[in-house]
Amino acid sequence: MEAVKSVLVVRRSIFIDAAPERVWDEFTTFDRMNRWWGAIAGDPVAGEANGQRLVSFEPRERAPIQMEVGSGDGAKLRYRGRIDVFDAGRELTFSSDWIPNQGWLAPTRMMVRLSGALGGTVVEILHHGFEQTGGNAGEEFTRYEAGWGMLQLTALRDLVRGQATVAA
Amino acid sequence: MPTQISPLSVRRCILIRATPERIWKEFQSLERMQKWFGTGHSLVAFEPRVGARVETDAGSHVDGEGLRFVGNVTVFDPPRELTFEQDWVGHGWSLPALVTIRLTPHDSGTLVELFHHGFERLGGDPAENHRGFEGGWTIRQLEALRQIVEA
Repeated sequence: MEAVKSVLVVRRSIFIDAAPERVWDEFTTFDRMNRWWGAIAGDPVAGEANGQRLVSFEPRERAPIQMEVGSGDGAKLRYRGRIDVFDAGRELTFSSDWIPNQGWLAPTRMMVRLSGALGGTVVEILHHGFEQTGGNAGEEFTRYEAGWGMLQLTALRDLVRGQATVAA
Repeated sequence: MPTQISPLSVRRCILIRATPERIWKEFQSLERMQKWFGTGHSLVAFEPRVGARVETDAGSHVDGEGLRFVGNVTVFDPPRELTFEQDWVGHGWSLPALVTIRLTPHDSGTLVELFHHGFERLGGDPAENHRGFEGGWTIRQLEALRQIVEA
């Protein structure tokens, strides 16, 4: 398990009434990940909480992962990284940087962590590592803190419950 | 002693370019608190001391239910932590949730964290309560605090 050394951490979380092993089933193929990590509501736009398109994903360490959102003016923006932790039932962690690089000195880190609690699972999205990006890390962090919503985690919960309520 | 944050928690955070002591000045009266914590909802009552009553009013829910929350200050620890209870009036919670605002020095500034937590003890459907508030909190209050302090 990767330690979160960063202080500037965006956190969103949800409780799912199922075991971590069951929740993890939704991490094990591109198609399953696409139904929640790639969940969208309308046309996804950078900085808004309406999702992201999942472009590529493989359920293994060192695999590339890539996502896409709109810029708001019709252009597409992609970001990518490498999966550093794929620890079944516990953690998915990957790096995330824009394509092309927009001046960050190092990518941010994206962690999805599963913890057994209260007879179910607390799932946390932890987007961190803004200190490494250089420039004004506080401003950069604030933009992401304002932009992350609950679309992905709610979609994951609904999938585990057997309810697909969010279009992907 | 810092209040322990429970697993079912909402966290919002901001980095402010000022010392904790400077930021804490904005916690020291109802009028100052209203200028930042009272954005997005009304801060009706607050006093800067343990045991004081805190009341917020966010109007009404889409189903018409009132969104008035009351509780007492449980921690007032300058310039580190403010914690108060938050009970949804008329909603039948067994115990109140908690709001904790924590200040931590970081990189010549201060990390200000807002936690809404304790959903495990509300009774009813804690997970749904947690999800609802996780979806509802923004950084509006923290951004207002930053703008006041950095002005």
